[in-house]
Amino acid sequence: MILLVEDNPDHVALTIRALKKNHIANEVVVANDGAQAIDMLFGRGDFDGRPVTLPSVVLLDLKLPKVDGLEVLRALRAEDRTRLLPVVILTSSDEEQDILQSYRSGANSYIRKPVDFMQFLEATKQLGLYWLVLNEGPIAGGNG
Amino acid sequence: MGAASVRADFEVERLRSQVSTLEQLLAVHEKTALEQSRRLENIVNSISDGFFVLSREGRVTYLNQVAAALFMRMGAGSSDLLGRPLWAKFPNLAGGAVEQNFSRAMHDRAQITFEARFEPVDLHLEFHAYPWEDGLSVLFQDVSARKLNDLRREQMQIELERQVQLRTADLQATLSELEAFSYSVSHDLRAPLRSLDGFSQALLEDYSDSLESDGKLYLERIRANAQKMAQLIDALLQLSRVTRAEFNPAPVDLSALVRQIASDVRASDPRRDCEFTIEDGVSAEADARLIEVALQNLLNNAWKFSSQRRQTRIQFGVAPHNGVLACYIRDNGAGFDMKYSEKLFTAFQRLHDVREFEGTGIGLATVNRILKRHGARIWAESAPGQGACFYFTLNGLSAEAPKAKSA
Ligand SMILES: Nc1ncnc2c1ncn2[C@@H]1O[C@H](COP(=O)(O)OP(=O)(O)OP(=O)(O)O)[C@@H](O)[C@H]1O
Ligand SMILES: [Mg+2]
Repeated sequence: MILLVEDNPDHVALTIRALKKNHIANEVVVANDGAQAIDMLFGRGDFDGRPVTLPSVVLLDLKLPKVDGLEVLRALRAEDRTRLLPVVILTSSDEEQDILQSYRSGANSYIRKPVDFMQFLEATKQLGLYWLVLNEGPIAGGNG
Repeated sequence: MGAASVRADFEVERLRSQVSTLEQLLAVHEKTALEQSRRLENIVNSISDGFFVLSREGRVTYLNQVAAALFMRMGAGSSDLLGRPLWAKFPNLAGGAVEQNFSRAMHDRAQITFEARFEPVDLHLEFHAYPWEDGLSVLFQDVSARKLNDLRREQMQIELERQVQLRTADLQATLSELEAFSYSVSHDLRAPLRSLDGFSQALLEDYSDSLESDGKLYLERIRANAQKMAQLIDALLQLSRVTRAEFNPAPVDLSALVRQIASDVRASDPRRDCEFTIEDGVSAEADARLIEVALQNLLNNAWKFSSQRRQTRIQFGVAPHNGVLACYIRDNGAGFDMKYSEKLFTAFQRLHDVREFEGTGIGLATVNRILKRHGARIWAESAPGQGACFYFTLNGLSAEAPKAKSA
């Protein structure tokens, strides 16, 4: 399973399309803001009491309503259970500050959403290969 | 009459005449002395400073009119003072800085200058005391006005500093606003473009069968424009980054930098016949990162606008130009009309058709801003079809080895 944290419905549709085009068949679950993502991953709020399935990878936008992407990332890195969960920052920003902050906060990868959809396809292709095929890391076996 | 009495008479006469001569002489001397003393008095009174003489015991043995007036302002009549001890008259001064300085001058037999404030009437006085065997001559003047000016100037200085701080805070606020603005530009303005491009592409891929060739062309145009706009946004951001970037000047080896960039440029199209001539040992005081961006833009332009020559020639070096030492980057490309040479350095101003030479027109605006941050200047010389030469100054520009070397 892939958790996509993204507030722009157009971008949700385009990202799902790009994943499909790259034959990444994993189920995609969408969180519309940072607070919802945290609730899902930690079984809180609306998700209180439900069993938590950790995704294989989190695709995280930086600029999100309520709780922004960096805060979500820091929350994940602060918990033992989610410390090693692969997180890919997927954002329109190519501000140096954002890139540095993301890596400092423990992002595994950073992709700037290109305006050109074909470039985006290429980027998701590499993303898919890396995180879903090659990366048989510590979270392999069970989730996703 | 005897001879003796005649002699006596004569003697008396002689003495009398001598006495009268002496009396006349004395009168003349007295008159001169009086005149001299009056002249002295006039001189002393004509000084605009107060002047008085103190005996060893601190008695006032002389004072001029200005001194009398000043002492009057301090609360004493001039008649009270002459022949009286100064400190008895002004107990406020006794034991204070004035008395201490006076005794020191007398003791050390050395001239002394100092300032003192006379509290009761808020008078600022400046003293110059000159010791001699039997006492002290003192010149003094009221410097209250000057003190007041100093105070005002100090206050003005403080006010000025406060204003500068306010302005700086203002500027910082504007800067972080700019930061926030360019952040949302980079994020929010790009987002809709992505949707435009992405869904156009989806239409092309999923509904290709139901689209006529014109329809496909229109979609391609939408995509091209979305991407063009994204480029413009990125270009604007690049420009704003130059202003926001840190600035750390240090000696930079410009020749090495140009060689590096030249090899990158050449690698973008290795088949092109191009000769780079790069002068060795050129260095200057600059921010390495910013100056690299500037040189990249200039060399990219030289490379781009000479692409239609059979053989491209690009030169980098240092030479005096219009009376100053300047770096130059020269090409043998398309050139431009000097009529528009001022416009080149503003954002989005282009002199060539995009169909002939692509670009957004932000490069030279960026270069200009970078050089401005260095306190430097850029200008160009060209003619249509004659190639172009861009000159810029930099602090500490030097060319150690004036021999040119082919790269
Ligand atoms: N070496 C050159 N020879 C001829 N014309 C030049 C040269 N350099 C710049 N110009 C003219 O100045 C204009 C502005 O240059 P600038 O570098 O700002 O923009 P650009 O190269 O067109 O686009 P960009 O640098 O943003 O990709 C160019 O479009 C061109 O008309
Ligand atoms: Mg350019």
